[in-house]
Amino acid sequence: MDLPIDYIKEIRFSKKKVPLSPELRPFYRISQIILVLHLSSTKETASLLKLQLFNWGLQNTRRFDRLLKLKETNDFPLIRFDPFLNRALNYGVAMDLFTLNKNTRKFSLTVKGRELALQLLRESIFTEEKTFLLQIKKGLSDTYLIGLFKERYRT
Amino acid sequence: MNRLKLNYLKIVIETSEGEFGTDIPFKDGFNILRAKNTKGKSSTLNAILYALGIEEMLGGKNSKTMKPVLKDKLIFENKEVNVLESKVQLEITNDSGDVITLTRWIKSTSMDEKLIRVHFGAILSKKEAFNFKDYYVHLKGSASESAGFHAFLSTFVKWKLPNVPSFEGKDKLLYIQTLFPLFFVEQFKGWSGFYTSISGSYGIRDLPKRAFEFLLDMDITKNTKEREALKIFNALILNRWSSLKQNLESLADTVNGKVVGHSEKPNLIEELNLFVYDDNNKLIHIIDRIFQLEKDIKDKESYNIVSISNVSEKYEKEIIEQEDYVLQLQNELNSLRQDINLEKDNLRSMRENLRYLAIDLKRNQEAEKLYKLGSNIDSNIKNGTCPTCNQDISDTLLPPETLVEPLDLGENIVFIKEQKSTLEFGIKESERIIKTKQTKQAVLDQNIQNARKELRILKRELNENPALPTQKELEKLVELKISFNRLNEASQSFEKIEENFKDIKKDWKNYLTRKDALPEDYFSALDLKKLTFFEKQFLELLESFNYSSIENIDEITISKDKYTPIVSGFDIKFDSSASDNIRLIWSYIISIYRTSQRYNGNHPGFILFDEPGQQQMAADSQEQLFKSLSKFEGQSLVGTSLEPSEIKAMTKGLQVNIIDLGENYIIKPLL
Repeated sequence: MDLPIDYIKEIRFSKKKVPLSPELRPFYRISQIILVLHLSSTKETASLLKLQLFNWGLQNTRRFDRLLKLKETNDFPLIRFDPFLNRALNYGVAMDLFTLNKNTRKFSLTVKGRELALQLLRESIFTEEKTFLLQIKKGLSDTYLIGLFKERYRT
Repeated sequence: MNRLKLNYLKIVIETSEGEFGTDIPFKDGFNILRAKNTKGKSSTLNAILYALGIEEMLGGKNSKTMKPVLKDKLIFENKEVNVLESKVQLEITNDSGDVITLTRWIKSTSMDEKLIRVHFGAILSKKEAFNFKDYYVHLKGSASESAGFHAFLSTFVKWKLPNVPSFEGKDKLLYIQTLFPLFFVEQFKGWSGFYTSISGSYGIRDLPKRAFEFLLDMDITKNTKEREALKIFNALILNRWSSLKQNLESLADTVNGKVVGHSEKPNLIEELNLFVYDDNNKLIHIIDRIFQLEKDIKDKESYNIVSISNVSEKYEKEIIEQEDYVLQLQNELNSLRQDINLEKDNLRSMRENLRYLAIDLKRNQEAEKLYKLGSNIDSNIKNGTCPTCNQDISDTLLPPETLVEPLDLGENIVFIKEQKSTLEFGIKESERIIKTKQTKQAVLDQNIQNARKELRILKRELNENPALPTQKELEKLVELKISFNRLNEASQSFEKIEENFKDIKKDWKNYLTRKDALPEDYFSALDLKKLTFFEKQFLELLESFNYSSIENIDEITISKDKYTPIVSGFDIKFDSSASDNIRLIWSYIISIYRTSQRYNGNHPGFILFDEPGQQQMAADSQEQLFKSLSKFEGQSLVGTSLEPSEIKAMTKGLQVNIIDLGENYIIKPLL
């Protein structure tokens, strides 16, 4: 394509803001983490593996079933370890919504985090996600998941 | 002259002790038959009924109605005498002066009790010999067959007995027996009412009325009959009419035609016409249409048919053109189909996008809510600053190196909504385009089918024998012939119906004429006159007989419904005063005679009262009865058991024939 470059004296670029999927917004992801910790984790505490698994599961409603039937199938899904989740966890820790136990490498809700969790439960947000998490309850423990994961990827 | 006059009665009883019996000559006018009670007076009078074959009035048939004295034993000089054979003989005259003598046996070894022998002459009063003939009673046909006695008797008395409605629906002859209670009052049952029904009513409806009407020769009997006949006739015509109508309509349906001129009810004016539609959808007469079709067929058959050899060249050319045309249409259709499929794909993907957008929108809206919620908890969220170092950070999880500057959530939502509405518009447009193209496709499909069909016809025709007419012309000709035949058939059926229609019209005219002849009211004018006269006579007589049960005799009228007296709408009670009941009957019986006499009716001109002095009847009332009977133009006969002196006193100065049978048994040795 021929551009009339010779006649152009100056070209200015201005940065345009881009639309962004809500999943890529920090607080959206933080809220999901809080819900997982509050509704589906013993002592509101979960390992990174569990959070990554649930993060994968919450991406779309079709994945809900895989997790709901995990205990029957023992088929640990092939998940993507999402760097965005890690970033969201960092933000959340920084905002003092949950803490990372240095020894167990597990995340737990703080009081502030629990307060937010209770507010999220009251609002009509994440209705499908909340239903799903309440259904699965605290059935998938870290121990079970880590065992299953190791079984699957043992080579 | 009177229709029936008794001349002479004779009873003959053969016994081991010789011939017994009695002889009683009657005269014209007023007769009194006097006998002592229980000496056989009623037996004698009842023998008159027996001789006439009317003994049913006594409650039975044949000889069993007669007293033992006439058939078993009689007492003579305190001695029982056995009856061997007995018979009763009666000599009568009719209004032409013909005299006959009837003989009927009561007990006989050789003669049947059902037989009545008629001698054509006065064998009792003149003792001459005459020819005789035997007739029968109480057998089937005795009232109608020539050998039946009652048929003979009614001819002799010159009665034309009518057929009257019966309970069985069929008309029955008004039997001669049924008339007698209106002029023959016998002692036992005769005084219990105006009309003493005789054992059974012969199945005749309203028998007393019919008998009354006959004696007065009222028009009503034949009018009623005519009325009933007309009713049936009318129903019959209407029935035929409606079935004709049905036939007509179904006929009209078969040819899609229309009938003109048949109304709901038959009438005399209208003519029937059947119309059908012609080629221009106009109604024309079926006959005209048939002629039209005939001409069309003739035209086509003779010369006007296009044959294939004439058109083959033209057809060849047309086939090429037609093939091109079909091909062209096919191409058009194919490209159209492609377009439609592409557009459908487009639509499908747009719809999918729209669905994703909707999810996206929902999530963004949720995120917006989340951020509001979060900012209450942590101010960093609202301000977009780092919770650790408080520097500005962009609201994204993407690494900062990407330098992506995301839209605010609010802007993001607006952006999505715009996308959505653009897509929605696109979808609508796409749907519209598909619809338009599909419509066009349907039209094209139809066109192609038609074009191919035409092509097929052209090709087939070219394969046929070149001398044949084209199929198109043939089809037309066949069509014409079919409708011609159909219309012809219809026309023939129509003619038959028309014949029928004329018949019905004729009958209808006949019906209307007969109906016109009937009086509009139930009674004819003459009938009303007769009834009025009857009423007047009746009241006059009642008064003269000193009837006193009802103070004002004028209150009594004769019911037009029953022909019996009523007071203010109710039948006169028979229990009011026993002797007044008798006066009512006297008046009733005599009034019938007087009315018949006045208007030339059918009354026989003969009246019989057996013991009219019933119920301690006052002597002066009886005297009045005798007085009116003595003025009687016909013949009357009174049976009584009064003392001769009383009779003499009562009949002083009257024209009377007193037959005194004395103090002993009437039946005595004949000399």
